[in-house]
Amino acid sequence: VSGDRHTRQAQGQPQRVDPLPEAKLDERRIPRTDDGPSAEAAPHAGLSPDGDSERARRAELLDQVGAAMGAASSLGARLQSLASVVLPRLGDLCVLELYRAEGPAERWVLYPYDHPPRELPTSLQVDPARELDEGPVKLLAGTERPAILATAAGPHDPPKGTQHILDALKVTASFSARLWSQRKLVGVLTLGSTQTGWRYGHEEVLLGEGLAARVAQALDSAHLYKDAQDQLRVRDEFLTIAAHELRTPTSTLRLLLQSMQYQLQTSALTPAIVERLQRTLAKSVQQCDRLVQFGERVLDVSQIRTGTLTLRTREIDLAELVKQVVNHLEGRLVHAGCTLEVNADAPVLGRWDQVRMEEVLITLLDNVIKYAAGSPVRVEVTGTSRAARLLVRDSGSGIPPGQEERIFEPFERAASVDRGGGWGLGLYVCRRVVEAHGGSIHVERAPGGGAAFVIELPRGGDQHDSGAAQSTTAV
Amino acid sequence: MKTILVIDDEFGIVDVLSELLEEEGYRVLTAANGQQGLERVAEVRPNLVILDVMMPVLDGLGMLRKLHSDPAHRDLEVIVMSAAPPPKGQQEVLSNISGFLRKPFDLQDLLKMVRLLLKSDEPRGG
Repeated sequence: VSGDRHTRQAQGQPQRVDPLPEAKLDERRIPRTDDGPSAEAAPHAGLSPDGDSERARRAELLDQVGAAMGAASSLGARLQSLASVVLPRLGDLCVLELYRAEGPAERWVLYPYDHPPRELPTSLQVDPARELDEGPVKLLAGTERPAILATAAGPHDPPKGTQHILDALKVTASFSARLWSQRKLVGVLTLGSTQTGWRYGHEEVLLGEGLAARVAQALDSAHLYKDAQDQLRVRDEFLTIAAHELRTPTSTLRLLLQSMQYQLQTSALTPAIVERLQRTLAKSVQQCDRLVQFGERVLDVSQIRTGTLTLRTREIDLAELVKQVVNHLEGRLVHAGCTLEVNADAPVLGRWDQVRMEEVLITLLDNVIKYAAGSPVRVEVTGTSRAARLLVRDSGSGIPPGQEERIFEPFERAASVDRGGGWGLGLYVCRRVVEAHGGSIHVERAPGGGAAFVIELPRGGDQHDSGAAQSTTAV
Repeated sequence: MKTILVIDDEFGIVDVLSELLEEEGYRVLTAANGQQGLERVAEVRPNLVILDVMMPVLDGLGMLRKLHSDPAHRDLEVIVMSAAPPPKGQQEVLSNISGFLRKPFDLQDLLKMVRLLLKSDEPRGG
């Protein structure tokens, strides 16, 4: 790994990070009066507790770290900047251990330019979750920043994963500072020295903690940047899908209008033609309704995202609603080759938002048309004294294992975009609407394959008996 | 009577096209995806297929590939209609088709194509 500079990743393949120009390194060195650790009989990390000037120097170094890390974009470049500011001033290496929501901890060994440590053993991975379990970490509530009351190791001792690296590199002195972000432990920064007799004192510990706070901040801003990029990507994806979804009803509408135009140009207005025109007009209105529904759904998403989704509840019969929606979609279901079995004979009354529950059912049946074409479909409404249960079950290919929750996330779908169908928001809106009613929706594997969507809805009588025609629920 | 198979998962499109083409004097059959389409082609051997691209189960391009690999149907006339421009890297599968229409398309353009391909110049009742 001779090509590596400043940083080296302890797990997997070492990551190459381009070196900073040396001139820049020099600019980032802290002005100092002594000749460095070797000038003292007992080498010290270069800072002595001599009051105001040390505090100023500390502040200056922290500012340099903040500025240097903030200017870099990638994590590697940020850590490289960190290394060039703090090393060899505060030791001859620095180990940064970063915890992630998933996967093993990532460990970086930072070292001064032209002074790489000896080779690292390749098997230095330690599961951070297990390690935290082993060493009891307690958080002190009520302070701005969580403090560690006790760990198996002391608060300035390295975690086990880092300790393996320190041992392998023959580090004789070290201290660690925890990185906190949003009250979560996101990593540990360890400074170390291989020089005999090097020690870290109170000043270095203070500096190290300040350093850890700056590093945590820099990592935070890197995450925020990535989140913002992800959000933009999601929005672009949404626009692509939305454009496609708009094109479908508009294409149909355009054909319907053109067909009427064609009829009027080529045929006399016989009663048969008039009847035909009326039918085509009715179909045109249906396509307009789909466009309106699309607009409503976009608005729903916006309201869900801003927490202002409003339900207009009144007493309705869910069984009747199901029959109406099924009737409305019958043509499309038949075209998709779905044979339909509806079990909604007994009325199931409750206080719900009729328009939104229609949307929910339309979404579920739309999914059947798209993903379970040609399969028998069963729609069932049943009720207990407290809740209603709505089942939509098909015999299609079902939801791939492991995707049962993902399909309810915005812009997710089990099938890929180019297989058509779905616009990635339907089930997301369904879940939020159902939850706004105090209910739940989930998908199960239907017996013999296929997907079974189950909605449980509280009847809502107790909450809404005041007779108010409208109630508002923020999600 | 010439037979046309209209394949689209969007019922509205299939509905309006079937009605119009029937009035033009053709026999019209429909399918909701490429898989159903292949079954229909094998059953009825249509003179022309009007095929959507983005469909569940088996999409239009997938169906075209299967048609082209089958000597019995390789020369079948196919008009492809799509809400998106022809996808990059798929030119090969589209090179053997008889026509391409970007949705939303003009009804007259479709009718012209159909008449040309099926050589029926009579505007209606043929």
